[in-house]
Amino acid sequence: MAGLNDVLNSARSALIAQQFALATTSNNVANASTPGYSRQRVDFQPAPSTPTNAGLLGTGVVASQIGRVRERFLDQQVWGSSDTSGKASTEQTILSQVEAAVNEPSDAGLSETLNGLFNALQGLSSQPEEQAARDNVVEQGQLVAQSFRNISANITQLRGDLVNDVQSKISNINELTGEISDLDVQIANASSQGMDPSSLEDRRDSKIDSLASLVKVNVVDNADGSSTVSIGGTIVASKTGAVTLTASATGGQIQVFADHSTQPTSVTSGELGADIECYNTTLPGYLTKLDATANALISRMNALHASGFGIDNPPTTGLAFFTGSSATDIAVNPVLVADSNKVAASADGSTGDNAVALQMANVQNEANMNGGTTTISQYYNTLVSSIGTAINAAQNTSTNQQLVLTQLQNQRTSVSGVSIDEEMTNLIQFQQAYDAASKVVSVVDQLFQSVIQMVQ
Amino acid sequence: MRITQTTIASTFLNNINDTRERINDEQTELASGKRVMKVSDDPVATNTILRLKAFLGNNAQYQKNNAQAQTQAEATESALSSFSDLMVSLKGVLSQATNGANTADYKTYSDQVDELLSQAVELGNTQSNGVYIFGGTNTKQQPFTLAADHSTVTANPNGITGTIQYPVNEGVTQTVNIDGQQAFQGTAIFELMINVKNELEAGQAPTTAESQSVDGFLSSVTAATGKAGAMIQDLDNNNTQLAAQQTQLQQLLSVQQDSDVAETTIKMNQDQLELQAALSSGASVLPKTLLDFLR
Repeated sequence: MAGLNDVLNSARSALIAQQFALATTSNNVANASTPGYSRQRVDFQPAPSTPTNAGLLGTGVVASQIGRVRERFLDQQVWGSSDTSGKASTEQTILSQVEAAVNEPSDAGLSETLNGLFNALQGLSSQPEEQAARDNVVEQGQLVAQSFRNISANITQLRGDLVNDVQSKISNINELTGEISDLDVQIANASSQGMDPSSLEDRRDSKIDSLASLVKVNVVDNADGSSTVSIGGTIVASKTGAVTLTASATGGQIQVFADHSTQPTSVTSGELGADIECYNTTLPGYLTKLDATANALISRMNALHASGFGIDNPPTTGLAFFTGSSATDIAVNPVLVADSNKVAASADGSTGDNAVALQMANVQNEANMNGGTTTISQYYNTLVSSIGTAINAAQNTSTNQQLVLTQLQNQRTSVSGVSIDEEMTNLIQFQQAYDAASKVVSVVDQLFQSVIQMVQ
Repeated sequence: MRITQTTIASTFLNNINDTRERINDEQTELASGKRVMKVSDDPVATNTILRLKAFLGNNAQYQKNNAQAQTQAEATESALSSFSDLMVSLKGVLSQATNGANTADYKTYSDQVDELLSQAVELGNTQSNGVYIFGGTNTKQQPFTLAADHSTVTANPNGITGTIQYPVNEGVTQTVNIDGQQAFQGTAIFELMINVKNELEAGQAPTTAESQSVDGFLSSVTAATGKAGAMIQDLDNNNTQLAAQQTQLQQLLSVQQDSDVAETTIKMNQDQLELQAALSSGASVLPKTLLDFLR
């Protein structure tokens, strides 16, 4: 037998449930532009029915739980793409700095100064007696040496800066894993107490978003809503705590170690991975090739120059043109800088002979690199275009991955994002349901009045 | 697919950014006039550009060398042609002296020959751009020294031989000197003149053999003059060739490096149109929600 009180109670449950729904809608609207926020939804369930003569009678509605709308699969996909995109864009930034250091094609690049030196030597061959032609050779030689040293110093400097960058990224990672682990503890607690961990989960997931672009992460979800995050096979954050990472740069290699471990953790992707790869492999590769270029020039020029004679009295012979052996220390022999008459153009000591100047000018066309297949200029030009190609490759990967990531993020917001239109529609629904329930209450009130008047 | 305000906003921003980036690239290209500013703009073209620039640099140097060579060759030719004029005069003096001239005039002839000797040695020591052109590779030392009493002419003990070659084109070297040995057969000409002078002074007529050797020297100097002339001809041809190569290289470089203004301008106009369309559609779509219609 259903009494008026039962009617009143079910109307009351409706009022309460719609209030929950309105509050959730209001919260959704408030967080419409909060990054990482997932829209929330109230699940309504019919309240347990009571048996009557006529059958089971409904007793109203309960708001069974408030939950976030989130597709875990999409999260995993976003995290899986973030590291590739982060790596490519960081690589692009670093390589662009190398490109700026090399500064080609320009009128001041190494390529042009090398041309300058060989042309000066040809000029010397047409005027071996001229002081001006000799000074020009020394000057162009100094420009070449300086270009080599500048490029080498800039790349070395860039490499040094990468160590700082890695350290700051590592401390950023440690901060994030610490926060993720704290949030996991709170999520596990909330779940065990039957509370809704939605907003905690949102916060944790947006921390994982940040972490995923820095380094490749693997995220495993646990039954209690907490997650276990690992980097390169090492668990770095879970509800049992976070593991700090440290980076050390010894022997020209950066390695990342997890707390208390002597085995390095492999980091190959993400922004951190790009830094480490550039430091360990890419930049040293460029420096080695630059050194090889400088070394080939130095040894060939020196061998030829030592065989010739200056025009001083008596003619000096046996001098090296360059000192040093690599791009870092190449310089024009200071003896020649002090007295350009000692520059050896002549093969026999006579002032008008230009045989050695011609031989040195011809170094430009000599294939004495790569086992006698490549000239010095060609070798250097190939190095320059390989830098450009690497930048282009990083640029393309970055653009493509960015597209994939944007697509995934769009799908994610498509599921989890707040739509104002939808919230407004819901608002109208909940408002009308609330209005209707109030109407029921007022009708029941009138019924009570009628009952009371019956008694009077 | 469920589209939220955030999706619309981020898609809108991404597209606007892409378009603006393209416009920026095109604008840079138009402003600089260059298609390749950095290696990454076109790594393959960069390689070609660097190679072409090296060729152009060489070409400029070859042109300088060629001009320098021309100066030397012209100086050589002019000195040698003066020298053959001088030999003709010597021949004249000799034939006057042999053809029954007055023995009393021998002194005058001797003086004339002596004068010619001084001029000949002077021509042998001709300098151009501060170097002795007949000194072989010993360009800073005077090749011929006439003794104060005009009794002997000595050649530079360090030698008056040696060929000087300038690089004047890719793989082409051009000989730009005729050394003293080739031009004057060492000091032989001068010695002959001294002998003739001494004989005339002593009242002896020059011998037929002497006249014949003057003829021989005249023809050898004329031949050397011709050789210098051929050198000048070669250098002129080479100069024309270098200028043509330069033009060609510059055109090739321009193809690789320079921006196609018309094409870039059209692309930029298209992109600007796109940007305008995106902005105006964004402006009308973005602010719209259901709220506008709920009263």
